[in-house]
Amino acid sequence: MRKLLSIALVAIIASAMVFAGGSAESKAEDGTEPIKIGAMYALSGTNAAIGTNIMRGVDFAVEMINEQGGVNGRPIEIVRGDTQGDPKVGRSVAERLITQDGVHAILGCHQSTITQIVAQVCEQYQIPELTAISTVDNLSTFGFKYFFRMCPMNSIYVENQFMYLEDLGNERGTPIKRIAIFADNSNIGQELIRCAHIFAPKYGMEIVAEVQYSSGATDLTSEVLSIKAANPDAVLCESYINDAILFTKTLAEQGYQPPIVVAKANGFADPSYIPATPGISNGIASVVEWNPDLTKGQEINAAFKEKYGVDMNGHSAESFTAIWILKTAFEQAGTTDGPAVRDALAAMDIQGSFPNGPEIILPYDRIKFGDMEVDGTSHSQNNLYASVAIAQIQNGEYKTVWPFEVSSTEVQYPAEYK
Amino acid sequence: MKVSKLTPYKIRKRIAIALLLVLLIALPLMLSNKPYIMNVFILIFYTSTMSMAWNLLGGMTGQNSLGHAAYMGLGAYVAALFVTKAGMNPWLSMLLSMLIVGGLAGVIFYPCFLLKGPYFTLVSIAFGETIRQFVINWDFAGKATGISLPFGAESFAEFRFMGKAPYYYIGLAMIIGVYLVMRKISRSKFGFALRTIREDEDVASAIGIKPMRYKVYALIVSSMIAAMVGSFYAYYNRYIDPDLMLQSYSVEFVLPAIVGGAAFVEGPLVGGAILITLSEFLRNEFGAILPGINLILYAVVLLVVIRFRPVGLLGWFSTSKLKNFLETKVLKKSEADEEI
Repeated sequence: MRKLLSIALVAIIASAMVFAGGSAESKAEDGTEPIKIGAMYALSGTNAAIGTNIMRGVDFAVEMINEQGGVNGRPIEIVRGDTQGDPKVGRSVAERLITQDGVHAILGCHQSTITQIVAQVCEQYQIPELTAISTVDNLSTFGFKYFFRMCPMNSIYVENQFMYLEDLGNERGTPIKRIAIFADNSNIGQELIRCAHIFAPKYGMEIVAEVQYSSGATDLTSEVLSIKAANPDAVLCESYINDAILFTKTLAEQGYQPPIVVAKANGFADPSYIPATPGISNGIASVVEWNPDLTKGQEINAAFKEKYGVDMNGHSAESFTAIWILKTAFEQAGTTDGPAVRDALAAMDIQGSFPNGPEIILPYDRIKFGDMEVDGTSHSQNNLYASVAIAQIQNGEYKTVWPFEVSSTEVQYPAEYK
Repeated sequence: MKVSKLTPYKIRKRIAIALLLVLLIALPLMLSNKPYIMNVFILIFYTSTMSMAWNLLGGMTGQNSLGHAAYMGLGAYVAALFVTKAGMNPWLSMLLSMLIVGGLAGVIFYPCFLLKGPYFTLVSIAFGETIRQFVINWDFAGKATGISLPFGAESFAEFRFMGKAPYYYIGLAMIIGVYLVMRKISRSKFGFALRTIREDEDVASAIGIKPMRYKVYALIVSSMIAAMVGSFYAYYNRYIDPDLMLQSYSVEFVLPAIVGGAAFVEGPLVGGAILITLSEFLRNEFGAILPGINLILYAVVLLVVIRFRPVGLLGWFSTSKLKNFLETKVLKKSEADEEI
């Protein structure tokens, strides 16, 4: 019982610390107050590298907007929130950003698990949340009013993979029929399998092998051999970076060269993938949200590269675009009031380029949030026109090869692996 | 307890405890426009409760489990499945989840306690990972996609609230309830048996305590509390996925007990309050400026405590001048008040 006294002491110190921690009260709006956007990504922990790329796109867009006068004269201020890749932390950070820092909108997150919990928090406080990165389908099935998704969801990624195969088959005059799937047992791996079963019949293709493995596997020989045995026309894959490298090396060891490999980004689009698989990954294709050789966004990427020393990647291009969407919503709403900004987002229709802003640099030309249906499930407030591009590794570099109208390079077919 | 035994010191001590309780109960009224701080308190409540559950095994019985996140995750899953698939009342589901997880842990671990030494720790890690892999591959439980609990209107029966205050009070009731149970256990024959087992199993057997039976009982109680916290977590966050059972989260429940003082029933409470507040504070202050620095500072604090106060903060406090000062000067303890 006596130790309870010390607990009392601790509780007092604890609350004092928390109170001291943050009490940024929002002042009355006088027309020059910054508009605050909370950006929630993993800035530390295993996903920090991804968070860094995302934040570069965010900072780059904010700088561009503030240079040209901000939103009706008000600058945009980004309040960073580090989710540490942990849902508990994500919830805590969202509540702090909204109630202590007084952000007017939230951009985030990366992992869909965290995005879903943050979406609930935003719903409760009537603060709009826009995600530029989270792709898991079910995020948009809960009927959240304040949650918007700019990026394509997983089923669109997979449908785009199938469209690519169909277009490729038509162009070559030899239709692609037999598909193998190679995916891990994680959340997104399961999504690929689920979506492939929806779209394969639609595109007249047959799944001849469905190979699952545990993420972090030390050997993938038997998995590769079972794909080889099924002899597919194309392999669709989804792997984290270590597994992607191991898969590619195992293909080389086994001397198996599938004519087409299309990965659903992730590990295959990781900056360390190509250096780790010199030569042997040539010919492998992957979904990309954006690529430096895309015919769009060249000037913006040049300025970006000058500032950061690297090209934009898919995530930076997406977060760049998302900030412009929020800017336009604040402008059109004429206020920072949550429900009004939410209505502005719901009514927004951007074609070609943002008002007083850059063109849409992603592979699509129009942004409008609306309801859609995929395989009998209804989704709300997704970007109706979102799509991805497909790039192929040629001479150790990703070259955009699809859709044909935004690409500048011919597909290597069959893939050469050298 | 007879009233005549109450010396002025004891009365003052009770007043102090009553004041603390009143403060905790009144806090939501003062913090109604600070939901973030309420969230920190809720975090402290359920993390400390989990840590008390761990401490029953780790601190009192000397069986260091590194798989408590799995019991908690399993509890969350069982409760969430009953709610979403069977449409069962969440309170009832919580109770069922406690029984199922407690029973399952008892059955699985019964043979493991035949082993002595660090084997329990190893098995607890393996058990946690096995459960996680099982759930990841279990279609009915949504595989790696997890389970979302239904949204809807506020309802006590449905364990669903818009504001933080109800969760705060439920969390508070949980931590106080579990604390009282732990205190009771600690002073009972059961508690003395567990501590005897911790010190020397052979001696315990020699004096008629069956180590095996007591260890299994302790594990069952501990995992039942973990299942309760897991259900609370699921209802509070309304979304769970198998990552909840990651082994790294198990460590989060060990630390409060170690830092607070694993030998004390109150250790996890002190440790939980300090560590959660510290990690939130560090992230708020430094997380945005230099990402990751908050984790480094957190680790430094842990290292310092473990290096210089290996008995935990309470172990240090109970022999410190501060405690002496509080007791003799503030509460005017007299010779007659020596505790038993």
